[in-house]
Amino acid sequence: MNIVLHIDVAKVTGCYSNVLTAKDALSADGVENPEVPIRVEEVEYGTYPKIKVDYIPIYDQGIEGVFGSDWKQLDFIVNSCPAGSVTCGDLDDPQSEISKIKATGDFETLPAQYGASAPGVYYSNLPKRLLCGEVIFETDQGAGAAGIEVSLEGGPAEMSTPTDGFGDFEFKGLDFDRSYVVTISAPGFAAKKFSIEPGSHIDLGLIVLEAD
Amino acid sequence: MAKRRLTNCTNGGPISVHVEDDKVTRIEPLVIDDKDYKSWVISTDDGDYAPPRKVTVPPFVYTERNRLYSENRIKYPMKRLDFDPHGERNPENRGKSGYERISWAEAIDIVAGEIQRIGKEHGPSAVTGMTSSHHNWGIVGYKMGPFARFMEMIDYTPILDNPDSWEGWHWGATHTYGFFWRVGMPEQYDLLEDALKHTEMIVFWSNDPDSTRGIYTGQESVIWRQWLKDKGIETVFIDPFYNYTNAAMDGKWIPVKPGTDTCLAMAIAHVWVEEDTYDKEYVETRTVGFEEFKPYLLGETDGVEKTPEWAEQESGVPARTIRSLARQWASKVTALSAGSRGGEGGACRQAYSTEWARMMVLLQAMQGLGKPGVSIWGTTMGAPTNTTLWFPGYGDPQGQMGRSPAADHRPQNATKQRLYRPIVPDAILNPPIKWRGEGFCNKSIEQQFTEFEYPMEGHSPVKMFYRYGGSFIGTMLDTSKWLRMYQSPNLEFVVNQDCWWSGETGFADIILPACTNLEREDVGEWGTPGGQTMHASNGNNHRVIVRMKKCIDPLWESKSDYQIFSLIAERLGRGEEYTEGKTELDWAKRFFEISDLPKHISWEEFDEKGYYVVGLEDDFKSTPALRWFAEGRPCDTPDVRNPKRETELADQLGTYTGKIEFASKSLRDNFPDDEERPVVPRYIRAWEGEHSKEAEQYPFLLVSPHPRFTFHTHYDKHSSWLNDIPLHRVKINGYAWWPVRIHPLDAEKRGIQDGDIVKLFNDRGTVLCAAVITQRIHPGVIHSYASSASYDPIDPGNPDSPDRGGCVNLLTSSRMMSKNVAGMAPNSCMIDIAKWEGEI
Repeated sequence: MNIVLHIDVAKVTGCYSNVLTAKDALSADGVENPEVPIRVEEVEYGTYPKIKVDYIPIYDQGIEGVFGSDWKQLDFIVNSCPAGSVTCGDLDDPQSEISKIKATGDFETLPAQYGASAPGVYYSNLPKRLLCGEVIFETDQGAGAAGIEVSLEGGPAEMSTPTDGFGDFEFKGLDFDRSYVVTISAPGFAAKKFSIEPGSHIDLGLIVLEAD
Repeated sequence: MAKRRLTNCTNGGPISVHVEDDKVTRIEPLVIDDKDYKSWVISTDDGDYAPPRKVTVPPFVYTERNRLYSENRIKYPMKRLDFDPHGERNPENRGKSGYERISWAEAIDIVAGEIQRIGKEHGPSAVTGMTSSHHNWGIVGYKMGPFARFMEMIDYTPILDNPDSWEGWHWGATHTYGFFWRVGMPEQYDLLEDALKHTEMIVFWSNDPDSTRGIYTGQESVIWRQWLKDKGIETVFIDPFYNYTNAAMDGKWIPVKPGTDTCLAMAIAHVWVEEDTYDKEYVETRTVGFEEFKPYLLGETDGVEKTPEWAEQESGVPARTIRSLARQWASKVTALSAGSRGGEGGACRQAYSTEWARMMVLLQAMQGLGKPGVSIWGTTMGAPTNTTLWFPGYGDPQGQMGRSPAADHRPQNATKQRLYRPIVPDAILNPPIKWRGEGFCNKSIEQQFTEFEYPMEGHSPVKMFYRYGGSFIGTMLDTSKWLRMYQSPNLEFVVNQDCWWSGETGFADIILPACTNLEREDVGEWGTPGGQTMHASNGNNHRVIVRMKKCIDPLWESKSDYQIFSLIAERLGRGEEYTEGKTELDWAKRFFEISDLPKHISWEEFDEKGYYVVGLEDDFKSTPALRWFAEGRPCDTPDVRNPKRETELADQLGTYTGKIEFASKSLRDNFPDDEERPVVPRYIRAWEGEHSKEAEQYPFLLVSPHPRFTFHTHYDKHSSWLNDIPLHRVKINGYAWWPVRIHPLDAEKRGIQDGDIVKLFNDRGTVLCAAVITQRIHPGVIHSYASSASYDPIDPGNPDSPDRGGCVNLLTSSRMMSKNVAGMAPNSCMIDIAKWEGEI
C-alpha cells in the first residue's frame, strides 16, 4: 500500500477548513492552540487588473506528520474541503481514483519554492507562468476584439486560443525557463508577434491590431 | 463518564459534539447516517448533479470548541467599580472603570431594582434594549425569544433594526419589483437547476459567496460553483476587490470604484438601447415606465448621455470593457449575482445605493428576468428542497416565544415609542430625532414611509439601556458615537449580557454572563430564519432539523439568556407570567409540537436521534424563480409570504402596478419630488466620495465588506485559533492585527510596506491595522473588512482613542443613505492612511 494525498489546486478556495479542523483534533482542551503541520500558501501573480490568486495547502511533514501512520484519520481532513479538492488513496492500486489522477500526467510534488517537498502529497494545477493580453482593433477601440486567434509557439506543442468577449486571452501553465512566440492575427489586420524570453509572468497589455 | 456524541447546530450549520467527562472534546460537521440522506438529483443534458452526502460547515465552525472555552468568556456577574445604584453612578467613567465580581442575587437585585425605579420615575418606556443582528442558533434561545418576550412584557421602548444587509434592496428594489416580504430580495427557488441547465454567464456584482455564503448555510454551495466552473460557464466579477470567489472561479475581474456601480449599470443599459440588444417584448409586456427611463439614459433629461465613455470618467472602468461586458451580457444567457440572497452586497450599503439595487433589477428586466437562465441569483440558495414541511424559524412569529402559539400567553407591549438602531446614539445624546421606516419592513412597501419621532409625545426619553451582545463598535456607523452615548448621563443605567467580552461590554454598569447554545437545550433548523427569508434551507444540499442538545452545563457562572430573564422576571414578581412554568426543554418540545415534524417523527425518536433530514416530496416539482412572471402566469413558486400569490392578482409582482417599474409608482405616489431616490433611477455622486469635500483631506475610498473567517463578530477574537489565518488577522510581535489591503501604488505614495502597522484615519476616528500590499484592490481604494470583534483602544474609555482591534466602522459616516431613506451607508467613506509612528 502506498497511501498518498492529492490536491487539485484549481479547486482550492483557501477556506482553511483543513487547518482549523486539524487544530480541533489536536487540541487537548479546546483552549490550547496546537501547531498543525498544515499551512496554506497564498500565491498572487499577474499584473493588475489581470491577476490570479491560488491557494496551495502544504503538509510540511507529509501526511504522516498530521496523524502518524493512521492515514484513515485523514478522512476528516478530506471531508472538510467544500470543493472536493483533496483525494486520499492508494497509489499501488491502479483502480484507485488517485491512480487515475496520476495517469492524467498533472501529478507533481510541491515545487521547491514553497518549501521542502513533503512525502506522500501530490498536486495538480499548481500555478505556473501566465501570459496574457488584451486585443482591440485600431478601427474600433470602443470594445475588445473578440474571437481573434492567438497562437503560442515554444512549448511542447503549439497552442492557440481565441480572445474572449473582452478581447482578453491567456495561456496558463507555461514554463518560466522557456522562450515563446505569441502571434495575434485577424483577417484584414496586420498580425502582431511578440517574443517572450524566459522569466516571469507576462502581461502584454493592450494590443492594437492595425488594418492591413 | 462515557463518551457521548451529541447533536447541536450553529449559525453556520449542524454539528456533532463529542463529550467526555463533561468536557467537549471535539466538534465535527453533523454525522448523518448515510441511509438518512435523501439527496436530490438535477438531470441536465450534460449529466446528473447530486450533492455530496455530507454537511459542509464554514471554516470558523471548526473552532466552536475554542470559542466555547475561550478566555474571553464572561464568567461571572460583574458590577462596575464606581457605579452605585444608590449613590454616584459616574457614567462618564464607562469604558474606563474596572469591574468587581458580584453574585447573581446581587446582579439580579440591581437590574430588577433599576427597571422598577426607572419605570416608576419615568414610565416603562424609559427602558430600552437592543440585541445584535444575529445570535447563537436555536429557536428557544434566539434573540427574538427570551429577550423579546421579557422586554415586551415590561413595555420597553423597542429599537427597530435597520435592514443592514439589505439596505439598497429594501429601500430601492422593492419599488422596482416588489418582494417587500423578502425585504427586497428576489425569490431563489430552483435557480441552481435553472443555472445548470440554461445559464452561460454569471455576473457577480458586489458578491463574494465564498465569504458570505448563504448567510447560515455553511459552505454547501461551494460545490455548485465548482460544477458551474467545470461546465465552462463564464464569470465576471464587478468589485473593488478581487474577492475569494473571483479567485476560486478564475473569473474576469472588473475593478470598480465604490460609489460608481450605478453609473456602470446605466452605461450597460445605454449600450443595449443603442445597439438594440435588449428584450423589447419583455420590457413592453412585463414592465412599465421604460419610456421615462430611456430619455435619461440617452441624456435627453439632464444633458448627460450615459455612455460607456461617460461611465469610464466616473468609475475608472475602461469604456471598451463596459461595452464588451454589455455585449456579452446581451448575447449570452446571463444570471446576475448581486449579493448573497440574490441581492445584498456591499454596494447596497453606500450613499444612494437604492439606485444601484434598482438598476440591478432593471438590467435583468431588460434581458428578460425569469426566462430560462436569466435570473438574479446569489449562487448560494436555490437547491431543490421540500417547502411543504413547516418548521419555525426565528423570523416567523410562530418561532418567537413572545408571539408563538407555542406560548400560552403572548405579551402585548403597550409602549408605542420607538428608537432606530443606526441613530440610537444621536437619539440619546441629542434628542429629538426623526426618521422614516419601521426597520425590517416585510409587511408592506408603505412601512418604509412611516414617520417616527423620538421621544414620542407622552413618553419619556430612555434612561436604561439593556444591551444584549456587544458588536456595534465593529458593525454600526461612526461608532465612537456609541462610546460617547454610553458615557452620557442621559443613560442612568446600562446592562450588558453576553457570552463573550465584546467591544461594548466594558461600557456597562452590570455585566451578566450568558451561556452558548452548547450549554442549553434547544431545537433549530439549519440555515433558515423563516420570516423575511422563507425556505432559505434551499441553500443547503440537505434540509436538516436538529435537536440541539445541551452538551455540557453552563461554564463558570454563566446562565442561559432564558434563565437570566426568568430570574429578573421572578424578582419583579412576574416569573410565572414569563416562563409559564416551562423549562427550555419544554419550550423546545412545544416548538416541535406546533411544527409539521410530529407528522413524520415522534419527539422521542427525534430527541434520541438528534436530527431529521427532510427529503423532497414525492410530487416535488421544480418551479424556477420568476419563471411564472416572465411567462405571464400565476405565481407557482412556494413563496408563501407573497400576498398576491393564490389570489386573482397572482400573476403580478408586489409593486403597485404589478410589473417591474422603471418609473416607480410607489415613489411617484409618495415622494414625487425626491431628487435622491427619484421616480426613475438616477446616478448620483456619493455625498462622501471622490468628489465630496472630504476627499480634499482624505483621498482614499474605504470599502469594508462582510468578512470571511468570522460570522460578523461571532467568532473573531472569541476563537483565538482564527488568528493563525493570515487572511483573517496578521500576527506581528504577538499581536493579531486586523489587515488592511492596499494597492502597491498607494502604498508607495505613503511609504508603506507589507507588514507595517498603519493608521486609517479621518475626522471620525483612527484605526490601526496591519498593511497587506496587494494588487487585489483598486488603486485609490482601501479594503478592510467590517466586523472586528475586538475593540482595543490605546486609551481605554476615550472615544477619540485610536483603536488597535480593527474596528474600521469607527471611520464610517452615520449619515443616512438619502433624504427619505434611513439606510446605513458605511461604504461611502473617505480616509487617509499613513504608517503609524505612535506607541502600540
